[in-house]
Amino acid sequence: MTKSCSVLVVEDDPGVRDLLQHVLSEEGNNVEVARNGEEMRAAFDTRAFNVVIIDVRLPGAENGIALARQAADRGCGVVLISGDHNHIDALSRTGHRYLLKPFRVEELLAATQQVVDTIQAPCSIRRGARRKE
Amino acid sequence: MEHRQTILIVDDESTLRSIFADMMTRQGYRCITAANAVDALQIIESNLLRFDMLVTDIKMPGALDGVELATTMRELQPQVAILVITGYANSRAMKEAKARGFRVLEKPFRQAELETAVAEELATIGEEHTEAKGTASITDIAQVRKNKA
Repeated sequence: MTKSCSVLVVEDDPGVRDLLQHVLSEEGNNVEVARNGEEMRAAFDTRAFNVVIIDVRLPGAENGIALARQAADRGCGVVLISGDHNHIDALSRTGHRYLLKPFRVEELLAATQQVVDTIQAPCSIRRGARRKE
Repeated sequence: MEHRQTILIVDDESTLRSIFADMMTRQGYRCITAANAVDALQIIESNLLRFDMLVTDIKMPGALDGVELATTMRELQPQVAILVITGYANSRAMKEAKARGFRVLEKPFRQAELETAVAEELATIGEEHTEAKGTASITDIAQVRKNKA
């Protein structure tokens, strides 16, 4: 990744969350983490992010694709992560960049950078209306 | 896209783990380290990242040794090169590692021997790759967890 940016990782698995956070941080990014949609929205209320990396499969009522829509509404770039290779069509239809596990670190960094390059500035907490749950 | 090969280094001795990681990082590889086989297994079983190589000590505290870890890695990511390190020559575990087809490097060894073993094993995985270059990068999961605690 050539430019450092502000990244929010939304992942319920603590091991995966730690790994993503550290790999992205090693490249100079400012990385925050959230375990679910509630924590993601709380993070949006406190700071701005260039990109949100979201695991598609999250426990609870909100899956990663629903959270991706909320992040995009805030003006954030989105990278979806999925281990389900049978859902490529569904991932493609979201219009978001996605990565299928397992992926190389370089693929994660490149996807993040590509998404960041498509947006002008970190999504602001003042941008966009909060979606009602 | 430039491809820096990623090595998972597993050793319970933090000094050795750092030395191995520094050596490999200076060679241009990206290193992710774990302090024991159980932590490493969590990383592998999460199936999040595609690794190019596993370098693991055999004898480590915990329910899993390096040979069992290497065997699991081979099952989950068959294309991954594996190098097993041990300070116990001719031990049962070392013989088991060799029997399972893993390359074994006995401690003590010279830096050049480690570099050669890593390069040769990576060459055997048959994937097209570009020469590893770039900024140093070491991710130590054990340290991440300690810092969070």
